Amino acid sequence: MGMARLVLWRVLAVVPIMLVVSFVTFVLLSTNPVDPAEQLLGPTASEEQLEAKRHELGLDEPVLVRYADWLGGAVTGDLGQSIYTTTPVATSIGDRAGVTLSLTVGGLIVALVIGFPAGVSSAMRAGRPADRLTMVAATAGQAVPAFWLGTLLLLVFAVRWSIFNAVFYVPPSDSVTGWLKSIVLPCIALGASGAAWIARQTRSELVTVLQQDYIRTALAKGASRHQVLFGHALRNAGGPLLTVVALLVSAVLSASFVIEAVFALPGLGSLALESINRNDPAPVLGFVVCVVFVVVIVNVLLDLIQGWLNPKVRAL
Amino acid sequence: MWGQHRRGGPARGACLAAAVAVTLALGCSGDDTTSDESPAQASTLRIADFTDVTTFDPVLAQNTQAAYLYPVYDTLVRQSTEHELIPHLATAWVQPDPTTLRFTLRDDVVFHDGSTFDASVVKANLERAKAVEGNPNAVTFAAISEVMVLDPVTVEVRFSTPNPTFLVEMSLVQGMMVSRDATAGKTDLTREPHGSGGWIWNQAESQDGVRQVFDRNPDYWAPELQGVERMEISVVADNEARYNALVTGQVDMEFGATPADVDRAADDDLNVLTLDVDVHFLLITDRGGALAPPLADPRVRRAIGHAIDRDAYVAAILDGVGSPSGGLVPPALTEWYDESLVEVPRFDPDLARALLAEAGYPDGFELTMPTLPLLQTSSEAVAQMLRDVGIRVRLAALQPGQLGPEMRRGSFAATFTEAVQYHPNQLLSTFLAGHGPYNPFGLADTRQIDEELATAAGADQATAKALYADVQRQAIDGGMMIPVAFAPVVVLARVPVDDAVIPLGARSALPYRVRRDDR
Repeated sequence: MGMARLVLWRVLAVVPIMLVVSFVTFVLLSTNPVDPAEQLLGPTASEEQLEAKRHELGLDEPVLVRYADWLGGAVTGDLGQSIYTTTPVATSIGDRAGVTLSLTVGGLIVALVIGFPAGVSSAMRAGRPADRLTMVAATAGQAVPAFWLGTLLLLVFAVRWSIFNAVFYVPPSDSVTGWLKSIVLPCIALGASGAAWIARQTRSELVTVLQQDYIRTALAKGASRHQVLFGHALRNAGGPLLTVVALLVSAVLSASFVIEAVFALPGLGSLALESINRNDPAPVLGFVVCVVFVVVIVNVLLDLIQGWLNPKVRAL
Repeated sequence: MWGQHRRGGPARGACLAAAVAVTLALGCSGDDTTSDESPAQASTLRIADFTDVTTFDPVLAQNTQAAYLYPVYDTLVRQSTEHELIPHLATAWVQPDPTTLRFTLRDDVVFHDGSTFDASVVKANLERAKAVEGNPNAVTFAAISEVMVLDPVTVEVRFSTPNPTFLVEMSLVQGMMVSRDATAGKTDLTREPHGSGGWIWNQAESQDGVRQVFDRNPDYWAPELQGVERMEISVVADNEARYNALVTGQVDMEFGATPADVDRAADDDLNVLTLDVDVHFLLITDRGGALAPPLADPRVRRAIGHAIDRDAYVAAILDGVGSPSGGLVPPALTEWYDESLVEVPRFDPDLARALLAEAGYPDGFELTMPTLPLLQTSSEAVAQMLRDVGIRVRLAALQPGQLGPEMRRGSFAATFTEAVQYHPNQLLSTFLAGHGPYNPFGLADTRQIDEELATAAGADQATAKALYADVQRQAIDGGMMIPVAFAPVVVLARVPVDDAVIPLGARSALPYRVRRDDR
């Protein structure tokens, strides 16, 4: 399969995934026993008023008709609006996406910056005390939930020492220092587990690769350890590591929704939580669709990169 | 003593000198957050609220969202620090008869959109509040039969039946006045407030679901009420995050703190303002036994009352903050509180078991009660107390927003719930009246209660107080409403709260006279 065909197939595969996800979510939300009309009109509303409000909201239409209406709008970027605030869902998601993006990218950077060198260093010292110590730390890192670590960091570095912000998000456009103070702790909390994961995977892949004959041959021919590591070993260990990083995007993204609550950051997670508590279906659906879309796109990109790096993958 | 409680604590320590490099890079704000603030920042009051504002339309808003509306809207009357009703937009009021209220109004009030306030605006507001569908406080306006403009500063409100809660409700969101254009539907009040309040909504700096910003109204008619130049109210849904925001000085005030926060707030040198108005109670709606036949027997319902250990509830669930309740009217409603109800009903599990046995249920019975995430812990506690006398309670978890509708539909025989109270008629009429929304089984056992509530509504204060006390006794003795505890509404602050007021009926403090000091 050529690269162009791979791109086409992978991109086309996104469509049915999004249709299934959006439809299932839509149906699940429509089975919510809470009546939005009753929520809006309160306890004194008559049955006639409730019926009129349900009609106004289109709730008296069959689920399939309502889904088709929503889908028609969604393909043009209209994800509906909040029944309480009337704010378009696309606007709410756009307003909150910057926070979630900062957290996810920041968490990934922390994971990579700590995890990758630690894994390489550990692999180069396999079996030695430094390797064992790193792997113990990695095990502990994987076991620590992000929200717990976040709370701990917050209590020490924000409440006790006042170095970072305890709550709130400062956009980088307002203040870069303020932005850093608001996202450093959440990003460390988010990235710690990922760093541990990457360290273990990097070490595992590298140790396997470093035992291959061609590595021994390269060393025998006089290549330096540095040349062997970066010229041969890491290149061959890169494929599986790329998969780990792609999986990490999903993990960090979902963990960020919890971390948002700990640090009172107004990201997509808090939007979803507020909407769920308020029984506001459109923002919840918009949230699910957007998050799934990002995760699917990341995986598609991973497939494409794998296919580009390794032609054999294209045939699979 | 009863009423609103205020507490303070010792001075705070200094910032620790650790992590110098990072501190130098990012700047240590330390514990004294005002030290590097500009004068403008120093006069900004930053508040963390537990909820978001879904609408700026007072007719569609609930009192839980009042914190966002008070800065921009004036109410007809206001509550003092002692919760007396004092003049605000209305300078005086008289009640010529039980179904008429006549307000004299200020003549110097200008809305933020430039229009003026007068009696015709009050008339338009009250008529709109009665007409708009979806008003969560529709009951406030339901009995209004006519609003008459007597002259530009005098308006008369006539009711079809006496409305004893109307005046106090005019100090809550129900009493907030919007401008003439807004009442005419020329603006979208949902997303844009049009009031005359001490602060003007700053649309450019506000963000839905995140933060609402208000700047001081330079032309306000009562500048002495404006303690700060600017107010920022941020949504912080998580209790712990709100507390952290306050402790670290990122906000100056926190609304929606829990009783558990009160003790640690003293250790952290925070000022505390509490008001015990949140009534926790068991409502038994199925007194005919349609869903739970044992509840048809009054002895079983009385047994439930005697099974509740109110002291243990206050100690365990409310962290000792609040008070065990005998009656249904909290002490904070000083005018209406009746101490003779304190001992009703007493905790006596042996008596509860004996009553159950006498009623033919020596082995108890099964009972399903609804609960919400917010009520989960307290519901579990009450359920365990009932289990101890043999009533095997199963809790059915509902979603937020589902409890009220399910109660009104009659899906459950009994419900443990809570309600913030500002007038005895409000709670008793809502949950006990035969024609009220919480009589889903259409029972006729509230006839005497209905009559007494109707009489109390138009009676003088002393007579009304005696009638409300009698209604409470009937409700408790008859096992209709079983009081558990009075929980506090808690506001924590780094700023002085001596002049701050948590109005009866709200879960936040009024913005008036709250000032930043240089801590």
